[in-house]
Amino acid sequence: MEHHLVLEDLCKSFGDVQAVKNLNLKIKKGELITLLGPSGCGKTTTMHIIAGFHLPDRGRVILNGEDITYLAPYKRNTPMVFQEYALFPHLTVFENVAYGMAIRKVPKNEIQEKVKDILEQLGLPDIATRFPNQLSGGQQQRVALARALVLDPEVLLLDEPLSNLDAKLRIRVRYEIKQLQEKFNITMVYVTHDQEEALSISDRVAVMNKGVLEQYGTPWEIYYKPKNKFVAEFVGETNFLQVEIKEVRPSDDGTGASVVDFLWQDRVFSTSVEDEGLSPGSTRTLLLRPEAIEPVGRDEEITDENTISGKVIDSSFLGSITRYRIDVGGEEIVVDDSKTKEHGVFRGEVKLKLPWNVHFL
Amino acid sequence: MACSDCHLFPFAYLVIRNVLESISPNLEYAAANLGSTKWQTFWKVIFPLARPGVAGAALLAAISCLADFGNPVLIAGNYAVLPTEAYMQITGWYNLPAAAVLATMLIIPTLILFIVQRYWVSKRVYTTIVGKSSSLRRPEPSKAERYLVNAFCLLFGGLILLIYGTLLWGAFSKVWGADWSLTTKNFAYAFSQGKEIGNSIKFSIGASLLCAFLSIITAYIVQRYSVGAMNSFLDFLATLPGAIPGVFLGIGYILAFNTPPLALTGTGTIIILALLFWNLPMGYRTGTAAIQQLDRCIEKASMNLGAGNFYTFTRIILPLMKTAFFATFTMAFLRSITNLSITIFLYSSKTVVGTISILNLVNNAKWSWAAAMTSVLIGIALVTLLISQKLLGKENLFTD
Repeated sequence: MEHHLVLEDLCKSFGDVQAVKNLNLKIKKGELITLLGPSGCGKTTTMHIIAGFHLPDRGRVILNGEDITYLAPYKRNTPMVFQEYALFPHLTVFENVAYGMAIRKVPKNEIQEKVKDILEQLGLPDIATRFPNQLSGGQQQRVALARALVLDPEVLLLDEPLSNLDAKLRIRVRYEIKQLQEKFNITMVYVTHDQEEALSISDRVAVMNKGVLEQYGTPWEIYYKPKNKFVAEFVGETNFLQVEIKEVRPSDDGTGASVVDFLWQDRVFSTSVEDEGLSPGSTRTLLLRPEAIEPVGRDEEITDENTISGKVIDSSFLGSITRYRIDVGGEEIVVDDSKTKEHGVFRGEVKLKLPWNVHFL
Repeated sequence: MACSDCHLFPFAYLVIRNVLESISPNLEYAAANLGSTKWQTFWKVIFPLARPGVAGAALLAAISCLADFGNPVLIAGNYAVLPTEAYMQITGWYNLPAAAVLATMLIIPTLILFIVQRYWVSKRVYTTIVGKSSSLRRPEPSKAERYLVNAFCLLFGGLILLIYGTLLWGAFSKVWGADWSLTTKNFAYAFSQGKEIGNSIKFSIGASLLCAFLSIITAYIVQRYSVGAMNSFLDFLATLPGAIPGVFLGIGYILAFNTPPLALTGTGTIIILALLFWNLPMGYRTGTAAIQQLDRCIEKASMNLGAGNFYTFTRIILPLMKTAFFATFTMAFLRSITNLSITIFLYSSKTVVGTISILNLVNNAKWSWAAAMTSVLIGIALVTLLISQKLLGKENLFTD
């Protein structure tokens, strides 16, 4: 399939700071991809290069097979929803939404119709004559979205569009954005530093750090198969265990996976892995998500060999889970227990069950 | 001196008020919470934070005072100050070079004060007070405190009102100092000098309109277009007239525009130009502040939606700068219509303005006529101020 938007070897420096380094990204038509990373990772710069606010020092931006790297911002159809919304305060909602079409000399009655239509679609039918300062944060956010959507964008850019909304509204609007994106089949590039937001709406996530693309993959891959420590740590909570590989043998379940025996805390555990280039005798980092480790209730029978005991350091009850810090042979690991109702809160000694399927860095 | 005080009071007041307003009420609560009395809070927290503002106001007042022409020439009697001496050199001896030397000597202390104000005080104002504005209410003063403060303000306000009152009384009196019986004849005289009042209005409007336009355009270019060293140079040029005493500007304009092809001496144009550039720093500051408040993403959004530079400037920037524009216009108008230090060097028989004729009336001891004329000018200024406040609503852009 032909890629809709391609970023090719982009480089951009501001003075001594290299904001974006050799960035390559391919985005398919109708895909929602997220640029995720801490502040200063180059995600906003990348978005500004796509919008044409910055020219890259090197590399190309290709939209629909056409090189738009040096096209003026106002000549590309890449509308953006700004973090601060950037609504024009002296124009009404109608005039704000109509702004782009007025410049494109769209006939007046068509503008009328389209603005009315998009405002209705976004659930804002009665505010066309109001000014931005008469709207709530959520409404302003939708107007900003309407202003961009009404232009039938080639690519819609969203720069942390939800960061000024309160927590509940943020979750609601993010589903709405996802729905709109699917409905209109729009290619979207979405910038955020919120990993949960990125995982929940993206088709694919590009994790960036210090200008470098660390990993580009589906939310599932990013979460369960992070390529390095940075990605693993940035997306979700993680335990890193230094283990020694003892033996690797093909699994007999016909999946093509391998079974690996590894040594941790003077004990040998057996788990299944996909081929990750493990060689016996080497020391590797084992990645364990807190929810993958299962605390075993006192009355539960232990049949699994992959268990180890530890001592609860402290716990915090969060409703759906209880998060524990547990000391296992001097190593501190984080464990999330999802059976909060059955288990109550553990104190003192606790048995932990390691998962069958694991991932090594 | 007292007169200069009253004259400079509004400027100092505005500067200090802005600084005090920007100090978060949180700090007052924090101080009280840590056990300090209101008195201690004021001296240990509020005043140290406001010190840069107070110093800034003092310096601003000092600059204006040094360069003041109107007050010394009207009421100082035998006390000669540099601006009036320069004027005497020109009118009495036609000694332009000597006047230029005197004016130049005046520029040294003002320039020093200006640099101190700009680079030391103004920087400190911004670094000591950071963070979000708070919606907290300030602590309420007690009844006794309120009475005390009000009494003090009343005393001061009374002093200022006294000046205006005396002026008005004088304007309606038959002969100032001799016959205080009321009459409107003085105003008949004032209105018979309609041409001079007309000149005042004409030149002031011209200078203020141009000043407002030029300020906003300059501020926009300096803030938004990066042209390397040109930016700081433009910034310097636009700020510089603020350090230059009016007298110096006046004499400078005579010297510069006396010979063809720029022979403007004696025309209205030269007065308009001089007033325009005299007011530019004030307008430039207002414009800069307004543009700095304008998030860059507004312009980016406009471009992003398909608008070019020109469309963005006319449809988005200019309308959003409306307040700054009117504020600059009003302030420049008020300063221009009451200006004496510049116009005195530049007027000719055809371009006499209100303030000049007041000076002449005073020199001829026509006090009541002068008072009437002054009242008319103050009336115009007041009306302008009221109209602009109505237009601008509550927004207050008259910073320093």
